[in-house]
Order: sequence, then C-alpha cells, then structure tokens
Amino acid sequence: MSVPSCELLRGLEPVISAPIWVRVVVGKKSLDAHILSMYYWYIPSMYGGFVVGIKEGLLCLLVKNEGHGYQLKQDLESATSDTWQLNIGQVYTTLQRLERDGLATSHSPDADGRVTYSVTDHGRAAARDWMAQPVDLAAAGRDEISLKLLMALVSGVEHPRRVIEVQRGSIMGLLQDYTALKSDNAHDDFAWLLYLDRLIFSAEAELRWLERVESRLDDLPAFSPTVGEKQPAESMEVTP
Amino acid sequence: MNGRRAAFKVATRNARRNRKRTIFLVLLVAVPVGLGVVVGGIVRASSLSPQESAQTALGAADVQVYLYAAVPGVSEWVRSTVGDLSPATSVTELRQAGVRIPGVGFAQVWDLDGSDPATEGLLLLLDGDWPRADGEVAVSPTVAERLNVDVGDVVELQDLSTNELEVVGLISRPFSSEGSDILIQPRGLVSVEGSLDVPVESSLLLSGSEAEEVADQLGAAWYNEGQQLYWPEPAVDPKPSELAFLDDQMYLLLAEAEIYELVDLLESQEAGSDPVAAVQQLASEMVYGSGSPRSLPDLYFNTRTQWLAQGSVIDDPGFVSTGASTLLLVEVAFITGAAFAAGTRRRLREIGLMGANGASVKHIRITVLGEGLLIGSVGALSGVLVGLGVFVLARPLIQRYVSRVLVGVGVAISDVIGPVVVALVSVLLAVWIPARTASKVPITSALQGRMPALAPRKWVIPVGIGCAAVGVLLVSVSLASESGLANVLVGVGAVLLVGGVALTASPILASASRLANQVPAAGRLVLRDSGRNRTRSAVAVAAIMVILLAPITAVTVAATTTEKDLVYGLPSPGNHLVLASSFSVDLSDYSNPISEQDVAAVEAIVPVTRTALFDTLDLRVATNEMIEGQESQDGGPVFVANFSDGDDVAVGTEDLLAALGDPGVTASIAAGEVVVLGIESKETRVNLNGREYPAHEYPVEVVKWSMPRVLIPEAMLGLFPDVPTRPIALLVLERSPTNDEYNEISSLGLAFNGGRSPMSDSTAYLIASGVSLLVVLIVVSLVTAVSAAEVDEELRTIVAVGAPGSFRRRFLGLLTGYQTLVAMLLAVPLGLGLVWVFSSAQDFVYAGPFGLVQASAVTVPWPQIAVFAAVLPISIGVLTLTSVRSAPVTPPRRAS
Amino acid sequence: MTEPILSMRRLGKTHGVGAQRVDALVSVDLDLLPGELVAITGRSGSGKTTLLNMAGALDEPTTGEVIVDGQNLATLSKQELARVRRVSVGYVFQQFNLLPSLTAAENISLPLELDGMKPALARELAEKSLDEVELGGMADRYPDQLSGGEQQRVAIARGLVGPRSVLLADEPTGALDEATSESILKLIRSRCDAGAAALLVTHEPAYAAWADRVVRLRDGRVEGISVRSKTPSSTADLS
Repeated sequence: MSVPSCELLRGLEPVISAPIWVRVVVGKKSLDAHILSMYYWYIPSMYGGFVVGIKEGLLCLLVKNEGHGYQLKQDLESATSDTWQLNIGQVYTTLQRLERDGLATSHSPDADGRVTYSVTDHGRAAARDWMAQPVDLAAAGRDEISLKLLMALVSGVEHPRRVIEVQRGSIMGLLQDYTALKSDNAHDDFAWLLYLDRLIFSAEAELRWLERVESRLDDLPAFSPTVGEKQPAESMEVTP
Repeated sequence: MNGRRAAFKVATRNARRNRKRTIFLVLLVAVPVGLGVVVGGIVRASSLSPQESAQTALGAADVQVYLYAAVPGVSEWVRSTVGDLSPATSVTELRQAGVRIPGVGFAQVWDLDGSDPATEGLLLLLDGDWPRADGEVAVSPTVAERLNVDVGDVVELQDLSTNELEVVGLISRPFSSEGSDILIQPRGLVSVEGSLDVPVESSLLLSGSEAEEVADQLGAAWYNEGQQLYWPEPAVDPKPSELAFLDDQMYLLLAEAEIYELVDLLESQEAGSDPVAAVQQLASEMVYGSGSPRSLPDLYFNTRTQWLAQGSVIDDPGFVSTGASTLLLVEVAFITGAAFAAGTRRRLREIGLMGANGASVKHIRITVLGEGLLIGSVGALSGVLVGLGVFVLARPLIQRYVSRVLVGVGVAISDVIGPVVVALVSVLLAVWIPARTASKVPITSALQGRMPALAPRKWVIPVGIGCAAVGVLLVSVSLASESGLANVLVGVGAVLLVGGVALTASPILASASRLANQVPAAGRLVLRDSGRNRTRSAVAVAAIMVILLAPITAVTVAATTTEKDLVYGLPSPGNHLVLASSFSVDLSDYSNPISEQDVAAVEAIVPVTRTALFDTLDLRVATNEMIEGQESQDGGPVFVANFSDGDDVAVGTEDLLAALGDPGVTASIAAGEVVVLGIESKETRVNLNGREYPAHEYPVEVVKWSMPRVLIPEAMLGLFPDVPTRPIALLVLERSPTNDEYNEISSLGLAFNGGRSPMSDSTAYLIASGVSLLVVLIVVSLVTAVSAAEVDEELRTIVAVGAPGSFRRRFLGLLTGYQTLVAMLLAVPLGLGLVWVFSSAQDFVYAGPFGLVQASAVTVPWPQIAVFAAVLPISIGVLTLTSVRSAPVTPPRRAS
Repeated sequence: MTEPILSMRRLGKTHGVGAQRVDALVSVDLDLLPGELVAITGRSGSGKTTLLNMAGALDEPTTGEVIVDGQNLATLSKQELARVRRVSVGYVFQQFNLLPSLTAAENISLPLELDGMKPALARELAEKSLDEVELGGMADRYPDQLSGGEQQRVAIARGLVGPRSVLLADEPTGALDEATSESILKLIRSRCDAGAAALLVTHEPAYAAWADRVVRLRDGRVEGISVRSKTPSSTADLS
C-alpha cells in the first residue's frame, strides 16, 4: 500500500485564515479535500481567548449610557454573565482608541477623577454598522486541529483516525459538561444560557466536522477501515 | 394468566376506533343472523312442533284408538278390554262429524265435554263458556264470522238441532286461527247421529300412565280375538277354490253375487291372457271402486310417543334458522377474514408496540380475537334484535298465510341460539388466522411495519384435498341414509368440501404470482399483490367462489333436469292448456268430462287462438321396447312403456291437428298412420291394447302431462268399438296466461295442465348469470372495500413514481377480474363435483316413453359454463374499472 | 458500589450465515447503573438499535449475555421475556409510541394491566407517572389530541411506570424540533437523576451529551467512551 502524498494547494500559513484545500493523491487517484477552517475563537477554553469584541462591546454600552472606565468594565462583564473577564487597562486603551477614532468623546474628570465617556453620532452609526455586519468566520486565527490532522495525514506520526477519536472524545466530554451546566438550575439566566448554547452548538459543529473528516478519510482507500470487510447490515433503523 | 382483560380492552378500543369497519362487519354479521331468526320464526309459525301436533290430535290423552269402519259393539269391546287390562287407564270417546252447514260450508262438529281432563287442549275456549246442555253451542271465530253471530246470539243449525241454539262460547283448535268448528253439548252427536247424512267418526282416547302399554296389549287382543268377533261371516263359505288367490280380507267384503261373478269371469274368455289379474282388478273395483268403499272394522292406534317421534331434525325451526344463516355466514366469514387480514397488516406497528410493552403472544392474539368476538356478538345480538323486530312487524302479513295462531314473540330461544352460535364461531374462525399471523410476527419487524413474507405453507394443499375428500365421503354416505342426523352430516360434508377447495386458493395464488414477470406492469402488480397478501386475497377468492357455486350448480342442475325430462317428451310450451276433466260435485272428485262450457269459461279469461275439443280413448299403450341390461326393482325387465298418466290415445281430429300445427303430424294422420308426439322424427311401433301398429314419431312440443302422446286417425276408431271415449280440450293461447289469469282458471274447478312454461335453460342461465354477477359484484366490492386501505398505500407509491391516476382503476379492475377468474377456476370443478356427489346417491332410472336416463347422470352444459367462466371475470373487471375512483385519494393512514 | 441494573457481557449478534454473514455487534460490554443515563451513538448501521433491542429482550444475542434486574435473559422463556418487557424495561421509540385507541393514562397503564394489575391501581400509578412528566391534566386525552412532544412524554412516563426502572429510548427526539427535543432530553435526564436508568440511542452529539457516559459504536464495536466530569459546575473553568 502506497503512502498517500498530500499536496497543499494554498493557504498553509502559520495563521490559517482561509479554507484549506488539500489534494490527496494515492497512486493514480486523487481527491480534492476542502477542509473548512475552524472558528476556534468561539471555543475559548480550547483554542484561546476572545480577540475581538471589546471595542464593539464598549461602544454598544456607551450608546445606552455614558460611563467611566471601571463602570463600563463591570457593565460589560455583567452583560456577558462574567464570561468575559476584562483587564481594566484594556478597557481604558480601548476607550482612548474610540475617542481617537471619533466614535466617543471624553468629558472632564469628576470629583473622584473618573473620566466619563459618551458616544458620538459617528460612534452610534459605527455600533449600528457593527451589528449589521456578519461575523467574518473566515478571519479565524490559528486552527490547531486542522493543522494536526493534516500533519498526521502527511507525516504519519499518528493515524488520523486516532487523532479524530481523541479529539472527538475530548469535545464530547466538553459537550457533556456544557450540557450538565445547562441543566444546572443555578445558572438560569439568559446570557449564561446564550453562551452555553453557543458553546454547545460550536462543539457540536466541531463534532460534525470531525465526522465529515472521518467520512472523507474512509473514502481514501488507504484509510478505509472497511477494506475487505462487509458493512454491517443493521436494518433496524426506523425511518420516518 | 392475567392481563387478558387489558388485551381485551385494547380489542374493544380498536373496534371503537375503526368505527366504520366495525359497523360494516357488525351489519354483515347481523344480516344473516336476523335472516335466520326471521326464517326460524316463519318456520315455527307455519308448522307445528311434535308436541303441538300431539296436543292437536290427543288433547291431554296419551293414545287415540280409531275405530275404523266401526260396527256396534267394538267400542264397548275396547272399553271392557282396557278396563280388564288396566283399571287406572281412563277411556273417553271422541266423536266428530264433518257437516255441511248452509252459510258456513264444511264444519267439524264436536261434542266433547269441555271440563273433561282427557280432552283438555283439543279445543280452546276463547270466550264465554262451554256448551253444557241441549240448546247451547260454541263456535269457532270463523263460523261466528260467517254466521255473523257472537256470544249470546241465537243460531239455527238445522242438522244439529231442531231448536234454536244459543251461542254460549267461542272456541278454537289449539295453534290454529282458522277452521270451522262447532261444539255442541257433551254426547250431543249421539242423539243427532241418525239425522245426519254423514257418518260420525268415533275414536277412543286413553289416558293414564299405562295408556301406551295398554294400547299395545289392546292391539294384540284385537288381532287375536277381537276382530273375529266383529268381522262379517263370508258370503259364500267356504271360499271357492278357484278364488284361492284372492286376499282373505277382501273376500270377506264381497257379496254372494259378486263372488259368483268373479268365478264366471275367471272361466270366460273376457279375462284375456291373464285371468287372475283381471279377477283381482274386478274384485278391487267391487270393494273399493264404488262411491262407498267397504272395509272391515279395525283399530288403529296413535300414541303420544309416535307423535313426538315424528319430528325430524330438519323440520325443526331452530335447525332451519341455523341452516339459513349458516349459508350466508360462510360468506360473511370470508369477508370478515379479509377485513381482518388487511387490518392486521395496517396495524402491525401497534402490535409491535404492544409486544415491546410486554404483551405476550397470547395477549396479542386476544386483541385480534377479542375484536372478532366483539363484532361477532354485537352483530349476532343486533341481528337477533333486528330479526325479531322484522318478524314482529311482519307478523300480520305472515298470519295471513299461516293457519296457526301467532302468539307472543313467535320466535323461540332455540331458533335464535343456532344462528348466534354459528355467527360467533364463524367470525372467530375468520379472525383466527389473522390473529395467529399477528402474534407470530417478530416484534422488531412489527415495529417497523414489516410483515415477513410467508412461504406457502406445505400443509395447505394436502389438508385442503383431505377436507374435500372427507366432505365427498360424508355427503355420499349420509345421502344414502334418511335420518335427521344424516341431513346434518350432508351439510357438514358440503361445508368441508367447499372449505377444502377454498383452502387451495392460497397456494394457487402463490404459484400464479411466479408468472408475474411475464406480464405488463399492472398485471404484474396484481399477481404479486395477490401472491404476497395471500391471506387477504385467498379469502376474497373463496368468498367469490362460494357465490359462483350457485349459478354453476343451478345451470348444471337445470341442464340435467331438462335432459331427464326429455324422456317424457319435449318441454311444454307455455301457451298450451290442456283441460282434462272438471269437478264433479256429486262425487267430490274431478271425474266429469270437459264440455264446451268449460272451454268457453277459459276462453273468457284468456285470449285463445285455437281450440280443439277432442276424444281420447282409454287404451293400454306401450312400445314394448325392452331396455337391455336394466332390471326393475323386482328383478324383471324394464320396458319403455310409461306413456302419459292416462295411457290415453287421442283421436286426430281436424281441430286437434290444426291446434298442434305440425305439418308432419297432419300428413301422417291423413295417411292413416298412428302418430307419436315425441322428441324426434322416426318410424316406430306402438302397442295399443296388446296389438302392435306401425307409427311415426314427430318432435312436437305439447303439454307434458294430461295430453295423450299417441294420435290415431278417426278411421281407426272402429278398431276399438267397446272402448269408451272421453273428451278433453287443447287450447292454444295467444300467450302464456298471467298469474292472475292462471289463478282465475284454477278457480274454475277444472283439472288442467300447461299454461306454465317451465323455465327454459337459457332463461335460467340468464337469470343465474345476472344474479350471480350482481352478488359477485357486491361481494367483490365488499372485499375490495375492506382491503382498499392496504392496496391504496401501495398504489400511492406507484402513482408517486409516475403512473397515471387511472392506474388505480386499472389495478383494481384487474385485481377483481383476476380474483374472480381464480374463483371461477375453483368453482367450476367444485360446483360440478357437488352436483355429481349429490346425484350419485340417486340409484334409479328415469324411464319414459322416449328413453331412459340414470338419475345419477349429470349433464354438464359446457358451452354455457365456458361462456360464463370467460365473461364473468371480464365483466367484473370492467365494472370495477369503470366504477372505482381514479387517483389514490386516500391519504396515508397515520397512527397518530 | 451499586449493582448495575442492566448488564451486558461480551454481547455479540450475527445476522445471516456464510457469505451473507454480518456481525451487527461484536463483544460489547456495558453496565447501566441505577440513576445513570448512558447514550449510545454511532453512525447508521453501527449496531445501536441492535444493542437496544437486546437490552429490551426484543432480540436475542448470538453470543454473550444480557442481565436485567439480576435475571439472565438467555435463561428465560418467551412468556418470561414478555414479563421482563412489562415490568423491568420500558421502550420509547422515535414516534408513534402510543396505541391510538387508548388514552394517555391507558397507554401508560397498559403494561401494568397486561401484568395483571387491577385497573384502578394501574390507573393511579399511571396518573402519578403522568404528573412526573408534567402532563397531569392530560390523562384522558387520546394520542391524536397530543403534540409530538407530549406523546414522547407519555411514552417516557410509560417507560418508567410502576416497577419499570430502565428506559430504553431509541432516537426519542428524531421526529421533534430542537426546543421540544431538548425538553424531552431534560426530562429523561431528570428522571435519571431521580433514580431511573436509561439507555439512549441517538446520533445527535448534542443529545448524547446529556448522558453521564457516551458510548460510541463503530461497526458493532465500542470505539470510545466519554464520561462527563463529575463536578462540571464551576464557571471559572470556562474563562
């Protein structure tokens, strides 16, 4: 059995930001595989923290009420049910950037020396604009698992199916934990559930993606687990 | 095992949920049961049970002793003998006289004592009181109505009393609404006997626990000593040795002069070739032939036991009601079976669910059987109620046609039990196979709504053939016996035969489905569907088959009867009427010759085109053709000699020849030939009074009975100078008389024949075909209706893949046509087989003047059957095709 | 340690013989403890339903054994197997779970009544069971008067009525929308938290995630098991 060679068509940069196209060549057969890039930033505990959104978040809070830095930090944290733990310095930096870009104006410090910010018309429009824009999922950061899989495929350090199984077990465990949290009545508030659902759906999507990758692997003759084996004829599924 | 109740609850709920189907099946069961109840009621209304017959004849007594041709003293002898034999047995004399009363007609006059326990029950007192003294009388309602009197009125009945009589009561015979009965004072007939011009019939009623034994001993005593006491001395004693062959009892009745006349005849030439026969003939005429036949006094016994033993099982209303409903319930069972087979398939998932929830095989069977039981019992119950309702409503109508008084409901429990039991049993049998199938499906398959395809069961064909063979055996063995039980066994045998053949429908459908790939799409689906859903389609085929048996056997029996009738001549034309004689008031019989007035009376009723009033001669007619190889019952040779009843010969007058309208006959008579009105044209010989004449036979349609079959030219009359002639009339009508005209002719007091055309083969065939087409259509539509839901589910898929909407019509048309065809293939041999089995038991020969035929011979009308077999499936198919809806509009049935 | 209420040992199932021979299940071991919700996932044809059918005594294993409530199913007669289905395990299917001719309460009490329980007592237990699935007022409704989610709730109530303590659910949310599905899963979860045991067959990871253990089958073999963290409730883990 020949070891398949794997030719990267485009995009394999340290930071992969576009769909990855792979041509897997086995003997004379080749298969174009389209591996979707992962939206890793939705799954903070797996791939890192949030990298976007502080600016837009603060701007949106300012549209509602003017406020000073610490107050805005707290508002933002409570609005996200404390899932965002923000650095106060990061908040001040961001507020200054907003003022620089003409989206907010600062007022003179009050008795306690706190500077209050309020939104400008331009800022109001920008907030509305942000809301109107779709999130650019393609602008993802590092995608470790895709890279790992591709590397497993190319290098043979580990069987890709094993990589998938380990990954799947991990995500499934995560999903179970999220689900367990969801059924925990102590966190019965909207934002909390919104985020949990977000995490759950993302994990689910990840699992689906793994499933798809696995199917694609099955289609590669070299990786097919069922070569020379009969597919079990399980006929008990009740189809609606 | 518990849980049956829960399973039964599911059954009742299922029945309630499929309300339409349940109501449909309940009605289907109710109709035969109701019909059975009505038929049972009618039988009960129109007949008397053995007990009731016994009461009518004996009252409360146990034995009736008829004093036949009684002479004085016999009655006293009986009384004293009974008294000697058993003092505990009481003897009551019962006197009756049939008296003609002006304004009433014949009336039965009684003189019993209403308070006598022995005669209790012979007459019932409806109103008023029993007559006890001279001058009192009780009458039956009919008499009261005709005389226009009521209780308390006074009537004059001159024969019974010179005085006026007071009507003191209304009486009637038990169970009878009609009858003219008059009851006069006790022993009243003894005093008026002399003045009556009719004899008083007398009998003695014995009552008591020993009465029947006493009757036996009394009979023996009469035979041993009594009859010698009361029989007359012979007129000539000792009996002349020449007359030794004469019966002793007959000899006792001959007068002296007659004895000598017989001796003279024996010695003369007149006696012909067989003098003994001639003497016996004359002696019989002397004793019995005259207006008042003579007889020796004798005793006849009628015991209660004899009365009770008279009833046969097949006369029992309960038996008749059961039989009537069974016939239809066989059909209902098939349709119910088809409905349940289709329903089980549709409800597979529910069955799977029950299994998954722990229902055992038995529980599942109970849910299906329970539904059947429910439908059967509700159907039977409503059938009984509807039947009773119909019977009660129709009672006034029925009362008009039956003589017994209908009291109460008029239907006994025993008339109802049979149909109800048969209904329950047949429905349970019908759902047994679907129930078994349902409980055998693996739960995992059932949950997916999949019925595993069943291989044709190997036992079906042998069991079917075995059933049929046992059925044939039972029928033929039982037909030879005459008992009531044998009649039941014949029924059981016939059902086994039909059931056995019906069983083979399933394997036939299975093997036919293997031909499916040879035919186009619609046909292929039909073959496959019938092969796959065998339970449903096989019962459909069986249901149709049972119906088809009727026309096939009817046509065959008609053809066979026609063939057998041919030995007596060609069929009677419906527009011929033969007037044979008219009623003689003096002699109370039909012995008067036909006159011009009689003919005119008929002509006044129906339009007549030709009339022939011609003479007939009482000659002994025979062709004397011995039939080779046939023996009569006493071992002698069999002759083709059975000309018409009078053995008459007609004189070929011009009128008669014109009425017959056959040129050949006319020519032969003109040529002085003897003519036989037969079935073919040929030269033959006829023996008239022992002399043979050459004759010519022509095929002529004449009235079969009363009409002489031999015609002689008038010129030949001279050959039979001493033979008396008797005129009869042949009337050729414009058309067959209507029923009213026929009834009117009947009331003229004429003995006549003809005027009715026996149903011709072709008419019978057409009617049978039409009726069976109709009934088969009904059955087919019922069967299709119950399986439509299942069929439609498959058709939905077929239409979804692009078949036109009309595919459903084509499919159902082909399906019904195919099922009818298979049913026909089974019904033809089965029907012929049934006719054959039933006729094979008849071990005699129909011998007529024109041939002979074994009674067991079956004439199969192959052309008619072939046409029927080919046309019916096609017509059923086409009718279905044109009548069903096009697209499968039935939405998929969902369980939720 | 608690005794497993359902235990499968080296369970194997083979369909057909010779060239047609197919291994639907190969040596599967699985224990189900009281209070535990175990999900079985895998692709179509991986043997999920076969496993469930054998747990519910609807199908017989080719090799290995199934022990329910301490009874080895292989030693039981057909009658006794039917009884196991009446009193030990309860099934919930994807849809059409209820007999259309029986009311909700009657559907629930059916297994009890089939087992010979007095109708009044069975009815009482059924009503209690309906209360537990929050359908208290719907006892006398017929299935066609219930929504899909309510029907599944009734089915779950039936699965755990009276002495029944093992729920076998085969894609119970397959015919339901997202939100209803979640409420059904939540219900199964809460019934397990209350002490019942459930075996859930699903191919949806999000639904399998409600389980304490997720067993992934592949070609009749256990490919992997993932276990929920015992104490997953700290929000700090997520930052």
